[in-house]
Amino acid sequence: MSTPATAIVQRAVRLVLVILLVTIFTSLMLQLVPGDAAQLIAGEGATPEVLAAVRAANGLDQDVVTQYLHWMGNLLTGDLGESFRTRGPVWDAIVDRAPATIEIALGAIVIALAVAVPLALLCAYRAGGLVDRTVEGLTSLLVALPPFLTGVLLAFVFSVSLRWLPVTGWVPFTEAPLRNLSYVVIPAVALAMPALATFQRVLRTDVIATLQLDHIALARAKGVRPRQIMTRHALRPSSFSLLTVAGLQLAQMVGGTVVIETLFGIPGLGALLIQSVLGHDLVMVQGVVVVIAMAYLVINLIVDVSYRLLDPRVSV
Amino acid sequence: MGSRRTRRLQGVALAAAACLALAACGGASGGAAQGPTGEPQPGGTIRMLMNYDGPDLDPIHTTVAATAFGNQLLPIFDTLIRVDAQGTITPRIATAVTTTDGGTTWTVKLRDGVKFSDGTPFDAAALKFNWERDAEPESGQTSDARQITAMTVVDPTTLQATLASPNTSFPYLLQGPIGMIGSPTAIQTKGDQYSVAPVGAGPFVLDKRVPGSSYSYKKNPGYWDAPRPYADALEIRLIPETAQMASSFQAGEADLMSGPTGAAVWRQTEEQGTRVLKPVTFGGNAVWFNTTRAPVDDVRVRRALVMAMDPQDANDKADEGAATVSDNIFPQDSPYFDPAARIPYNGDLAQAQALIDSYVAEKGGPVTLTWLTTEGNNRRWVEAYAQQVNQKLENVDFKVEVVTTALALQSFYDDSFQVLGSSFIGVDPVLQMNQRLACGSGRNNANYCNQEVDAAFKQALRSPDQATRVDAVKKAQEALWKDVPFFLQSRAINYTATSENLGGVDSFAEGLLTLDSAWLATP
Amino acid sequence: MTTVEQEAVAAADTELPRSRRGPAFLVWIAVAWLALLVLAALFAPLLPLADPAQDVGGPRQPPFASLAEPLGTDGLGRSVLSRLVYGARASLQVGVLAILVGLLLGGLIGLLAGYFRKAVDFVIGVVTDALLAFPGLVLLLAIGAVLGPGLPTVIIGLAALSLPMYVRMTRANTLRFTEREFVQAARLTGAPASRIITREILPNVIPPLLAYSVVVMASLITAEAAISYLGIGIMPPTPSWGAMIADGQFELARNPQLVFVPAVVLALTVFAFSVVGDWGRARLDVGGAKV
Repeated sequence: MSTPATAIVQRAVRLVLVILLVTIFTSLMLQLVPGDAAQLIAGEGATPEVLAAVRAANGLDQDVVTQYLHWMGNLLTGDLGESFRTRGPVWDAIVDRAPATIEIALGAIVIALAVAVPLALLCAYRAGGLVDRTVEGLTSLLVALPPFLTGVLLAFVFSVSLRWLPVTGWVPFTEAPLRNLSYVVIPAVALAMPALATFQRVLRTDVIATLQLDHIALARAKGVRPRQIMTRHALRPSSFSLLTVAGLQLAQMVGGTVVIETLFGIPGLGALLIQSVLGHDLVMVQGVVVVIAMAYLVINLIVDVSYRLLDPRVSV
Repeated sequence: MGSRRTRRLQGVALAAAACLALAACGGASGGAAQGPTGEPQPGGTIRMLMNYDGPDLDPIHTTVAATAFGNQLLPIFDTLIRVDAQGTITPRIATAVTTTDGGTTWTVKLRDGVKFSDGTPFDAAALKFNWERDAEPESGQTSDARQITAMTVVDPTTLQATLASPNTSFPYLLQGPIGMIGSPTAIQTKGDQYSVAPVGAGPFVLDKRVPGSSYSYKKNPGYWDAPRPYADALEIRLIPETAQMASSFQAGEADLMSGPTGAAVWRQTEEQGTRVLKPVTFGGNAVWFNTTRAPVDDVRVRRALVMAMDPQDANDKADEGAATVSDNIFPQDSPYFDPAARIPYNGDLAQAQALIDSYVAEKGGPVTLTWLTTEGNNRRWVEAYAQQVNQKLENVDFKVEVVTTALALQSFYDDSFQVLGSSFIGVDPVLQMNQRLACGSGRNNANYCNQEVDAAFKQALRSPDQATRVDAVKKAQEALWKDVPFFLQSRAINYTATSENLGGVDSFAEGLLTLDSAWLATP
Repeated sequence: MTTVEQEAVAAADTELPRSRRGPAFLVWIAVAWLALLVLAALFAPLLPLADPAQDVGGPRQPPFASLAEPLGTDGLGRSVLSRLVYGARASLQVGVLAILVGLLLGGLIGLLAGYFRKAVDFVIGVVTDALLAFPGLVLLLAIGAVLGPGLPTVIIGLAALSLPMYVRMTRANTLRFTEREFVQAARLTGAPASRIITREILPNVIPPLLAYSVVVMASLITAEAAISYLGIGIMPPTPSWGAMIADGQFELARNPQLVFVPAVVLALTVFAFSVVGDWGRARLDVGGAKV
């Protein structure tokens, strides 16, 4: 019923509303977060005079509403503002650091999917069997180990002992693609582990349900081989949950890679976000939040469109 | 006790600052690989790993102890002088720092012909400009810089500074943040941007900075101490997790690494045959009682708590016994060391309990208090000590609360804390003790005020010779340890490891490194 | 389907591997483990366990070295066994309660969004997107600032963070089934929305949600420790499995058991939950949305 034009308008309105909501909330919430940016800059034992001077010098003495409106005004002209911590444009900091996070997040999702999908199909095919139960046990363990732990373990095996991969470091993809990938591998794998477990579980459940449908039985009766049944007939309709979860995970990783980033010394968005929040760098936080919001919306769009592709009966 | 040498306040031209620094610091190198021998080779990029980052690269914002990130600023600025615990001054950009009136007026003599990396001259006028800037309201160095009440440029290489009151420890300030001088031209033209792209007269020039992640520097061709620096470039990367940092170093991804925590990892690094520097200064990771807040406003409670503590046990628990603990704020080779001035650890438990009981009888119990800490290695120390107290004393509930750095800082500002740690280290104790323990001082975390102790410190500040200083500090300590306004969690050591390929690196002050002299055997 | 096809289906039906329930004893073991955990956690003070905060034998005693402490001691000399049992209290509360809130509340909202579409979906979508784009860190800190540190704060905070995910998942699955002919047909016959939702949609939407919940539960349990540096969670020395795992990282190279013992306990619990969940799903035998 909705024409492409209406759909686009809807999406645009949605984008604006989300950004408004998120940025207003962030402004308000950051006020609640305990801590004083001026104190953090001035350090221990500064006199009130010093604190006042620091506040004035960094624009920290305006009230929330003024600060927000000022920022919003800048945003409308495409200016994300300047951070008092880095003394540079917010946009530059984001552009500097986003590629690393995107690479690791995408890498993690790809690895997780590449392993989880075949594993889920295998387990669903003989649900309740030995392979299924073993995989269930392994994924339980995977999920109980936080990513930093898997990261440290992987680094120990592959970097320190085997010297196949570097321990820490970073070089942009555009500078040295192969070296860049060598830095991405372990962080991406570490991040992929819990995602892998999630994907496998969710997909497996849906495939088991799908396998009980009549059209599967029909295909079987027609003599279609099991492998083809699984990949051609069962996978597609079962992928709704998987798709949703994968989209969510990817979007979450954009802000959530901080532990992995700090562990491996990777200059990413996650670390930037945390440092900015704890440092009360409102302008930087707002900037990163806007970028993340846009990323969510893009990912959402892709996921929604994919629903349509998976099952044409769904109208989006 | 070390021999009491007469403190030399005259500048003396000495060779090899490195050797002096080692002798003064009392921290030996690992005893294993000493690094390459022979003549320093030019060229190459030195790769260094560190744990923490500073707010930016402007010394006026560096309010934490120099070691935390001083090594990020040092390559850009150098320091005016280097001074060791005995007071021996090694000239750097300043050749002499002298006083003729017992510490009120100081004459700083600069080296001839030194230029900042932007070509402008490093003269007395530049020095004056910087010290005036250090005294501005938004500077974090106001307490140091505002001691200076008047300055006169005597000639292009001589500056005279008059202090508000006599301070014979003045030279020590010149190897800290106010000893890091920037180009006035750059400061004036760059404005806001100066703090992220500063210009100094040090061995290196900043090339690129990614906050929280990495710093790259290039050799300063106009450096005053040619042929130094030997290396062409320096790269510092930040890895907060010490074990990861060590793994990276062991895998050959760095020539140098430095950091204050993770003693067990550093011990392991040393056991693997790597050279590890462990500079020890006085003091350490001090833990302050807020002496204006119950129940730690009562000396009975403070004494009892400390008597129930056992630093070696805490060390075993928090750092697998690898850290350095002490019941004396001075290291044994320090001229100020007094074996009688002990922090009353491992005291008689019956006595400690009696103190608590007496407090409870008067003010009611149980004695409840909270120790604030940030997450990480420090938390383990705090938990260990609190556990000891809770297990050994009845009627005491010593709680631990994990907070963010911002909250911890705030509780110092609004005096809402009861027990909180803040490091208390330095090359010269007199300066530090005045700042942290004198009545009404801004950095007096414990809100401690004891007139007797105060008078002793002031006397020490005015003492021109070592003997009187030591006497004054001894008097202060006698009073101090009756009151127990703070205790020492552990020594604060800025560990540094160098690979077999890197030579010329030694530590001075609280853990600053001689990066100007560093060279790679195979660049 | 034609009669021929129907017959073929009927014939082929028996050959297709159906989801088996697996060996029954596995389910019993899983139930027993969970029951043991819950009971031990509930009655911990009555059990012959050491005080979980006290040094009972020196730091880092290895497991199986003494009868008194079969699982050894941790870095502060505290009984690992005791801390595992007491830690179950915090961890199970976090895992189960946060999930329940997410599941029930998030599920409901997602159902509404997926079923009613249009305006309802749009509004819910905007709010969900905003919540997801919002840095979780700030949300946790703000909740912590208002409520103060402690277990309830962590549960509420983590529930708030996982809510949007449940909304999304439920919505996706609801979407998938709402458009089916049988649902359209039911709508046309005037069946009330509540009946359609409970009869046709819910049974299809729940299974993947449950599978997802099991994994999210484990993540929340470890997340509880990961956010401790924000100062909003449970304070030491109160134990939790997440905190035990996180603590052990400092000495992973030299005493790996400090990490792996609690990790294995958590893994076993997750495994038990998922086995039980699987059995429940198979029992309900959902998934046959007949066309």
